[in-house]
Amino acid sequence: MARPWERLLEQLVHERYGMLVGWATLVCGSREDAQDLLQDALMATFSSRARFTTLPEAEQYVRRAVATRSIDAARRRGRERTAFATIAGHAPAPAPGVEGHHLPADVVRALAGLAPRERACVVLRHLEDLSVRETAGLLGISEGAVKRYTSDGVAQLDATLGGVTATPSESMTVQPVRRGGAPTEVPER
Amino acid sequence: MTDVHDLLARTHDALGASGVTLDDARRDALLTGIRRRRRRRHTAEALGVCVLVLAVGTGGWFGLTRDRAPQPAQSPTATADPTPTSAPTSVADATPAPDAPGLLPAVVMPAGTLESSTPGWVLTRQAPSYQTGDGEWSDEPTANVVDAVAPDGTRYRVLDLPVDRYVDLVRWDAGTTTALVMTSGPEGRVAARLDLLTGEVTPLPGLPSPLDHVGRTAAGDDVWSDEIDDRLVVHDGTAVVRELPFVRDALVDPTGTRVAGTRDGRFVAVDVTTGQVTELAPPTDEMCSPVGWHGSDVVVSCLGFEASSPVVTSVFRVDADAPGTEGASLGLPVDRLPTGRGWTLADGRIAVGHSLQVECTRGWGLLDPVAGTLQDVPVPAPDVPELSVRVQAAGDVVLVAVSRSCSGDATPLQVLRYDATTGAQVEIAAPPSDADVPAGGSSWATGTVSSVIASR
Repeated sequence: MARPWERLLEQLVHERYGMLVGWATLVCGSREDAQDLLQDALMATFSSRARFTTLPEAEQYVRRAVATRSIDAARRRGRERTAFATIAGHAPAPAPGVEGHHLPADVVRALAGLAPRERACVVLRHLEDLSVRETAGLLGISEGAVKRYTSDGVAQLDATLGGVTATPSESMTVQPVRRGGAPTEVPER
Repeated sequence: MTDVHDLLARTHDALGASGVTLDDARRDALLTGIRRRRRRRHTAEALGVCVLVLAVGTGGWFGLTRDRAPQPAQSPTATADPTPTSAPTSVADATPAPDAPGLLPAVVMPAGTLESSTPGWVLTRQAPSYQTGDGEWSDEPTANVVDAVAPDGTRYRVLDLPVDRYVDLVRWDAGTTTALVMTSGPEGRVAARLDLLTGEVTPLPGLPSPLDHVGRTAAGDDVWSDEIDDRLVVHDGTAVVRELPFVRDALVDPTGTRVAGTRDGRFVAVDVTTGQVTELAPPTDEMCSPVGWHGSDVVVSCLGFEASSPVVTSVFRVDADAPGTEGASLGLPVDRLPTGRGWTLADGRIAVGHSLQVECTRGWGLLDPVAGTLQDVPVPAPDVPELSVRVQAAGDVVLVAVSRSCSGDATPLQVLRYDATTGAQVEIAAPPSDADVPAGGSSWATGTVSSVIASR
C-alpha cells in the first residue's frame, strides 16, 4: 500500500509537474537544468522531516527548495560569473514597440543573464510574492542584500528586454539633507 | 511598460503549459532516492552527523597504486599482548601516517590505543573527493581512512580502507576494537561490525535491509528501525532478540528501557522489554517528534507551516510516568526552538539543534527542560548562509558536525568537540584546504564524511 507521502508525490507530479518545471526554469535560467534542479528539490522535500497534508503545502515547499538549491547548484557548476559575463556580453537588443509581449524564451534567456542570487530574489519577490524579510530568511542573506539583488536584477532585465519595471510594493520616506523642500518619497527598487 | 510580476507570471504560465511530464526513468530514480534519503536522514538524526554516500569507483589512492584489501594503519605486533597499554606513546615520537590530498594529518596508531580509549574519543572516516572544473566529481576519493581522535586532539590513523568501501560509523564503545557501522549490501544499507584492527566488515545476521539505528537498551542490545515493514527490531549483535511495535522518530531514553515516538498520529512510549505501548499525550494535528529525554520526561517539538515552510511551533514536555496528562510548554524564545533529534548529557541537559529554516538547522545549544532555557553554543563562521548543524553526545561531550550546505549537497564537514562541563570547543576535523585539491580540481566536495563519539 502506498504511503501517504508517495500518494502526495504522485498527485503533485501528475497535477503540477509542468508548472514546477516552469518555475525551476525561471529560477535557474535554463530549461535544460530545470528538470534536474526540480528532481533534487522533490527529493529533498519528500525526504525531509516535514510531512505535508495538502498539495499546496507540498508544492510551496518544493518551490522554496528549488530556489534555495538553485544557488547551490550554480556555485557547484562554477558558472556564476561565467554565465553572467557571457550572457551580458551578448544581450539581445530590446525589441522595439513590443511592450508586454516578450517571448518566454527571451525572458528565460534574460533571467539566465542574472547572477543566481539576483535571479532568485527577482523570482521570489515578484513571482512568488514573498516579502523582503521572507526572501532574506529563505536565502540566508540580509534584507538589504535582497533589496539590492532585486533592484539590480530588475534593472538588468529592463536593460536586456526593455520596458520592464517593478511596481513599488514598499516605499520609504527619506529626509535628504537640504535647505527647505518636502521629503522625497523613494519607491523601493 | 511591463510590470515584472506580470512578465514573470505570463512566462511561468507559458512554460507550465508546455506539457512536460516526469518520465519513467526520472520517476523511478526519484522514488528510489527519496526512500534512500528518508532512511539516511533517520540515521543521520540518530547519529547527529551529516552523512554522505559517495559514488565511488574502484582503484587505489590518487597517484599511488594500492591493493584493495583494507590495511591496518599499524604493523601488527609479533606477539599478542592482551594487556592494553595505559596510554599511547608520546606524539613527538609517533610516526606520521601516510598522507594523501585532502587528508588531515595523523600519526600511525600505536598498539593498544583503541583499548585505552575512553568515552569522548571520536572515530572519523575521511574520504576526500573534489569537484572538477566542469562541476563533476572526481571518479574516486583520494583516500578512505578511519581515524581515532583523542580528547587532546591527537589523530591516530586506524584503518586505510579500499576507496570503494562505504562505511557509515554508527556506534563505538570506548576501549573496544570494533565499531557498529552501516555498509553497502545487495539490498541497500546493512548493519555490520567493523574490525578496527583488521578492517574486516561483517554484516550482522538476521537484520533486515535497509534500516536505521535508534539506540541501545539497558541490556546493551541495539534497537533498529525498519520503515519498510514498520517495525522496531532489537538485536544483541548476533541475532534478533525481539520485535517491537513501530514508532516514527524513535528515541530511546537514557536508561534504555523505553522508546518514545509517534504511532498512528499519537505520541507514545514503547517498553523495550515487553513491547507495551503507552500513549503519552493527546493527539495533535501538528507533526510532533521527540527531541530528548530528561529523566522520565520527553521533550517534544512540533512542526507547523508558515509561508509554506516548516517551522517549529511548540515545544513541550510530557511525563512518561504520567501518561495522558497535558504536556507542559517550555516557553522557549520563538527565535531559538529546538529541532531534530537531541542527546541527553550526563547532567540532564539536552544537546540539540535549533533554528530550523527550510532545510537548515542553523545552530545548536543546550536545552534545560526544567529551567525552560536553550543556551546557544556558537559555531565558527555563523554568518555562512547555508550553515547546517547536527549534534551527537556522550557523557558531557558533544560532537558537532557543521555543513555549509543545507540542500543535502555534499560539502566538507567541520567537526567540533564541545565539553559541556568547561564550555571548551575544539575543532577536531577541519574541511580540507582547497589549496590541496589535485590538479584539475576546483574545490573539495567531501572530506570527513562520518564521525561517532565513543560512549560507555
